[in-house]
Amino acid sequence: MANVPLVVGFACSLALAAGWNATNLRTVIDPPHPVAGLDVNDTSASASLLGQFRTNTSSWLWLRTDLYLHNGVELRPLTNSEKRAGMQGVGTSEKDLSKALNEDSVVTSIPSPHRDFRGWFGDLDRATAPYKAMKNHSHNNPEQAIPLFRLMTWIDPNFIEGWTVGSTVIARDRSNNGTEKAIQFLNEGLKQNPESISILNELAFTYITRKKDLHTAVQYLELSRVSAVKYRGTLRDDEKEEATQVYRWLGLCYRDLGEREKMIQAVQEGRSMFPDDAVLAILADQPPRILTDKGQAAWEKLRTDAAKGKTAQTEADAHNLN
Amino acid sequence: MKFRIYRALARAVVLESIRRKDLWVVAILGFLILLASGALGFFGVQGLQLFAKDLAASVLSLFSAVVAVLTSCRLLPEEIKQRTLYPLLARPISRLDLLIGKLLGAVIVTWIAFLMLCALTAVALTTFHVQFEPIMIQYIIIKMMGLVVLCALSLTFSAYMTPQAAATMSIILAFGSGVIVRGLIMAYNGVGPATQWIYKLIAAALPQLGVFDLGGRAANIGWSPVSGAVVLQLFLYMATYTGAMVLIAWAKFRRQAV
Repeated sequence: MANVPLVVGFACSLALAAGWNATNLRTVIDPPHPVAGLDVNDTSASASLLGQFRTNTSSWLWLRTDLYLHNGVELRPLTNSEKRAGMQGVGTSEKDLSKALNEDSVVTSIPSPHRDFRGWFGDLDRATAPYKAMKNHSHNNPEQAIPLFRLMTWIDPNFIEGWTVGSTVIARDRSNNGTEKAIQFLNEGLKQNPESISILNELAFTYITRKKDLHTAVQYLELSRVSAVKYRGTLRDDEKEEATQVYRWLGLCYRDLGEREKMIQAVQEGRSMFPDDAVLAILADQPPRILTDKGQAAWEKLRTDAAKGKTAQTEADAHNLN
Repeated sequence: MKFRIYRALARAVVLESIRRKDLWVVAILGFLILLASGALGFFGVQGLQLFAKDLAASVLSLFSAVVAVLTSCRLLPEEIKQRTLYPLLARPISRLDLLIGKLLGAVIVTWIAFLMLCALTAVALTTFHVQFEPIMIQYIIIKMMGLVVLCALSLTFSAYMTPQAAATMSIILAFGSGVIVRGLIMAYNGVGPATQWIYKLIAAALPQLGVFDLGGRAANIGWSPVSGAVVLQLFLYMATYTGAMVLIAWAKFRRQAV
């Protein structure tokens, strides 16, 4: 019995030691190079429990956010067979959110009467669930969703889309205050995900479009470029698209800053990584700034005609191939 | 006469539930609701009213379904296992009456639990300054109709399988039937006409519990209550499906050796 306090003391010391060193687990729970969003928790088996919880919760919040923006109407992506059958998405009338939410290829989860085989059950479903035809729909005031973006990024700081779409929603307030808040939100995300191409791009995009500050934008784009090169072998499709954007924006920024050498360097590097990208190809063909406006117009007409001819030829080839 | 039998049987189920302290489970679940709302308050109430309403509807749906399934699934197997069925059947009541009485009891217990959870949720929502709207009353009434269907489904499963298996099947259908139906809708146009009738059959046979959940409308802004005609159709569906379930359970139970 005399040993009981000793055992309890030893157990407490053990627990304290474990707690003291708990911060060391962060490298396991939070892998050091979180490039992707939701995939980050799959990169380490040890991260599974906490990671799964965080990812699932943030994913669930993400879905709720989408629901709130559509006033409860649930949307889903078109299936491949639906796309092949020529089915169109509902689309949105708001272009700024269209980019963030990609709504040109989504339809309502509860189908419209003409594509619902359930008859009476379908009618009941549409009558009791939040349902309406969503063709060219608008959205609820996204500001309602801002606390959710804060919540989901707090729960899962590696949820990249939470940061980027959240900043888009915040930036819908087009005042300086809104822009500053969006940049602050993105910077918080960047602290947690210092190599995220998407967050760096979004920051650069905000500086370009809202603040017209190309110098700061270029700094972020260069960081993004480093990240793209570092992880070029493991980038997912959506990250590749982001990486392509990096080189496009870098090319444009350097062009407008009059730094032609850097522009060529960036565009060439981009073309070496993404040889099929048409925008980079056009950028590589940009006329030097020394041309007059008239000369530049003539140059652009020449290139446009050539591009049209090439497109027509490609279509003809594809047709013949079919 | 029958009504008195049903009332006596239902009363026994309710008393048994109180004796077993089932409602303590509800109290614990309610405590969890309050705890969750407290945690939500940690992030600041401002701007989260919509989320709080939505979360409340989801939690109510989840907990009430769990209570309905657990209450209904064990009624018949326990009566048989504890041999309390003999004195019941020795009285002048048919096995069909017994099933109906048990179902009524399960429904009443579930409704009591659901209303308790609603009251606790209302307290939690009040702390978020959520405005209560008429559609919330309709949500509660229609949800109670849906719980009848779920109780009938669980009772029927328990006539054919062990309580554990019945509970598992009921939970799967309670939360999965909507997903299955959505999957069928998405796949329907991709299959040939010869197969499409199977899809229709499965969709019709599955319990459409989702149509009894007005949580989405109640939680979001500007949705009006559903029309009386829709409520009537839901009532008819509830009555028909529940009747069918009781008959299916009776088909097994009337021949079952006890």
